[in-house]
Amino acid sequence: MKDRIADDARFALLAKVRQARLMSGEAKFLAGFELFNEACAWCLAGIAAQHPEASEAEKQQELQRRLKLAERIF
Amino acid sequence: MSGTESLLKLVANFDAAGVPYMIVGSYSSNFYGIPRMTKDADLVVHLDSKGWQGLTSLLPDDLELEQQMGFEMVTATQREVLRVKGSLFQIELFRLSDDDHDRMRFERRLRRPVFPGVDVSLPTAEDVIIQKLRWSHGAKRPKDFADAVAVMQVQGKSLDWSYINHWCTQHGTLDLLAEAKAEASVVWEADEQGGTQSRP
Repeated sequence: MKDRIADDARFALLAKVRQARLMSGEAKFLAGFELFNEACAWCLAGIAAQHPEASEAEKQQELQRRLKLAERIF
Repeated sequence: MSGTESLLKLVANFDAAGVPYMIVGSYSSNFYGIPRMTKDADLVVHLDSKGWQGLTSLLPDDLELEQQMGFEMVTATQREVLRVKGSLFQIELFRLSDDDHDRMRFERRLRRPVFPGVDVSLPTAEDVIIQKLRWSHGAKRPKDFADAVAVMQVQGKSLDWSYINHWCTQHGTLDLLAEAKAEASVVWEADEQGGTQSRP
């Protein structure tokens, strides 16, 4: 099982590198912000589901709190 | 307006005003490595004190200057934060410091095409690796180490290793460099065996 996980991880990594090498400079340049937007949208959806009573401002505030937390962790 | 569009408008204004700059941080590691999400774009800007005070005149309409000027923690460089209106995305401007490597990577910066007809200034891939390892060492952030490894993996072995070794020696990051090379070697070995092929 351990070997299988290592093997899968290796193939996943090689696929990621292959994909990155095939991406245009344009796509790579746009990716950081687009992924950030996607992540924020998903996170906001999670906050809204957990706190249906929260106002838009409160949801944004919670999102900002989580982003600051991420900064400390990663 | 997206954060990237705001960034491109800002650097176009810098180019038009003859202000030397380079885009560093995750935008540069995304360019040379494996893209990941980022909530900010970092720029090193070469402005004197007077130019720094007049910064607001160079900002596009969708960017606003955060009131409090700060300092970046690893090299204590002066820093300004710009907020993209209506977004959580931000652009951080670092004043070119007197640090030897900061000066060197700025001198070596390159114009790179990112969109048809749009060139921007970026550090070399080697300087991205050196700086990311320095940050990984100084700020203990795993993402900086991962970014350095990703640039090594995507660029392959054809990097200027004597240049990288020189600066990592200066910064005390040779151990981290060795670790990063060990992680990148999985991809280099696959390259040598005929490229990063798909799973059979």
